[in-house]
Amino acid sequence: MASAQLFGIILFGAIIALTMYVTYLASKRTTGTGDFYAAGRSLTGFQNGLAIAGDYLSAASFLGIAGLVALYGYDGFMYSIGWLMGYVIVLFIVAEPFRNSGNFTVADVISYRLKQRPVRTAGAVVTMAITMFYMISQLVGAGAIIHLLVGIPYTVSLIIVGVLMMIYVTLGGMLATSWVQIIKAVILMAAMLIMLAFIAIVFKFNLSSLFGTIINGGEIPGFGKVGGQGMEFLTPGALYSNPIDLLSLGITLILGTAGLSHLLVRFFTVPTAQAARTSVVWGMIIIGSFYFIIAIIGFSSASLVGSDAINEAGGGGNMAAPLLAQVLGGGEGTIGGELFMAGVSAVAFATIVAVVAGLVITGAGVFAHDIYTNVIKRGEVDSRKQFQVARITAFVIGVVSIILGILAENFNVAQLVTYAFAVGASSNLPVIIFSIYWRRFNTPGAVAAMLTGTITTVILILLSPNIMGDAAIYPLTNPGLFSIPLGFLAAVIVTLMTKPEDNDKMFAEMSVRAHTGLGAEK
Amino acid sequence: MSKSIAFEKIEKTEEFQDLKRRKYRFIFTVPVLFLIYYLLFIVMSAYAKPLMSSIVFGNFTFGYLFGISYYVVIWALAFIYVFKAKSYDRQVDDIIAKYGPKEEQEKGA
Repeated sequence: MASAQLFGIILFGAIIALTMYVTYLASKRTTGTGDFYAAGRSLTGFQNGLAIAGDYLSAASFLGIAGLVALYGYDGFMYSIGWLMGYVIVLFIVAEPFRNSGNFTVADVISYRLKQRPVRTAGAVVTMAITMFYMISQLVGAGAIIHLLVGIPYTVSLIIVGVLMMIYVTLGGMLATSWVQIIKAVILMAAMLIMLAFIAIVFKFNLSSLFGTIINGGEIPGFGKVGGQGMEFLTPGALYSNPIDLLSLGITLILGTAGLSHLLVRFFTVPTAQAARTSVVWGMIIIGSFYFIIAIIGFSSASLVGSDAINEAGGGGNMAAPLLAQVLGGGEGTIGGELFMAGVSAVAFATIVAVVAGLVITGAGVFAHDIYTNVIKRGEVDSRKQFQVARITAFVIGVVSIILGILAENFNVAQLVTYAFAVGASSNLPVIIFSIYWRRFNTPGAVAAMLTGTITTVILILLSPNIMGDAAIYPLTNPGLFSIPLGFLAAVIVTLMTKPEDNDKMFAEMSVRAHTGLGAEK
Repeated sequence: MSKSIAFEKIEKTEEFQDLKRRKYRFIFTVPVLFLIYYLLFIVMSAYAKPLMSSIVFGNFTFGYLFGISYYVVIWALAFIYVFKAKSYDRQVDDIIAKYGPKEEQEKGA
């Protein structure tokens, strides 16, 4: 047991050392704002695809979804499907024109032909809301998981993660953040493939027999009696009793992905729209494989570990994947089992650090570039000064989120991430789509959509059963079903009710730039 | 740099309007159809439980295979998109060659 913990700590150390080395290399190349926010636009499509996967595949996915599948069977599997589906919108509608029309932040795109100050201010509110929901969920998850796996107290593990990401971001900027995400994506996928290989050997490369043990139960040499949950386990309804709630969640996931600020700014790290396209396709291949495999890991955990043992380990099923690793490696108390589990825990740790770093740099970019430079100083800041402000902001966001994370210890982690998606879908997405594709769209419409989307989302969350319990005024756990149409409607109605802006010239410029790449930032 | 590009002139050309028409028809239709296809999965999971939990072959249920179909479809869509986007790239190259800035001969990004 002690040797396994030691192994876990050595692995943690190795991951930290590797990422610190990358940060050191990146810091030597990060000398201006273009480097800090956009990695000097030096990533290739494939590298950015890996970074997108590294940014997107959070601990909530790795541990949380494995747990949901292991405990709730079909409903957990259904939940796992939604996460990739939003990339259709990212790829078809958003990625390329977004890359061509922007520079460093989401607000660069939406303020291209609209009034700078109101749009940038509202955009900053949206991005900060998304970043905070996402960040708190990651930090709470990080603290809980590291505490569970390595035995470090919750607060201490939170501070470790927080300090690490501040170092990555403030010293290495977007280049270091991207490489931390790339390294994490590779480590995570490698760990999943190793687990999949073990599972394949246990079930003799026959996925059908895995489901067979779940339906009928069975005996596997070395594992004893396994599975036996019955057909019920593969029937819908174990987790979601209200189909409308599920509909709300589904719409939120599919529309929210294209509205996540920290994901969108990844497109500024590549040199061309073609590279942005390639990066989404690679991201989709990696992310899709991940969710396909994580469901198999969840089902295998249900079969080989069993629901009782997973529930006993606590954390709403979060331990399903690490416990499966333990069983696959030889079981509790064996060296193989403990080492495998420590390895998987170290991967979960790397996962969290990479996601959090991406969030911090997005938040810092928004404050330094949109608010400080363009709203407060009206664009008259030299890039050294702006760079300095960005670093200070990254530091402040780090400290604030550590404190919020400590306060939010008992929040439901999976829920918090879907809130970020809801804000993205109801405020960022309408504004991004309309500003690129709708000539008549104007500043009041953009500001109205962003504020309506964000405020409705937050109010519906406060009125939902998660906060109010049985006395809830809004019956659904997810706000998307109402907040998303409201965000889009606010954009359309307010635009049509207010004066058209005289910006035909700018729309022509933006449109040509978005679709041809002429004049795009290199 | 952007000063030397005649954005408004390009925007009004027949070629650019044709690119936009072709592109919009494709990039909006497919995601809308896909959204409907995805919502079908949720609706069927809620209201067609016996079908979703019926065995199709081996020990695979209809619901599991239906869920897996989304990965197949979305990957297929990604490759169809890349194929289509290459034809838009060619149209863009033609537009840039004809109307783009003359002093700057690099390909449009």
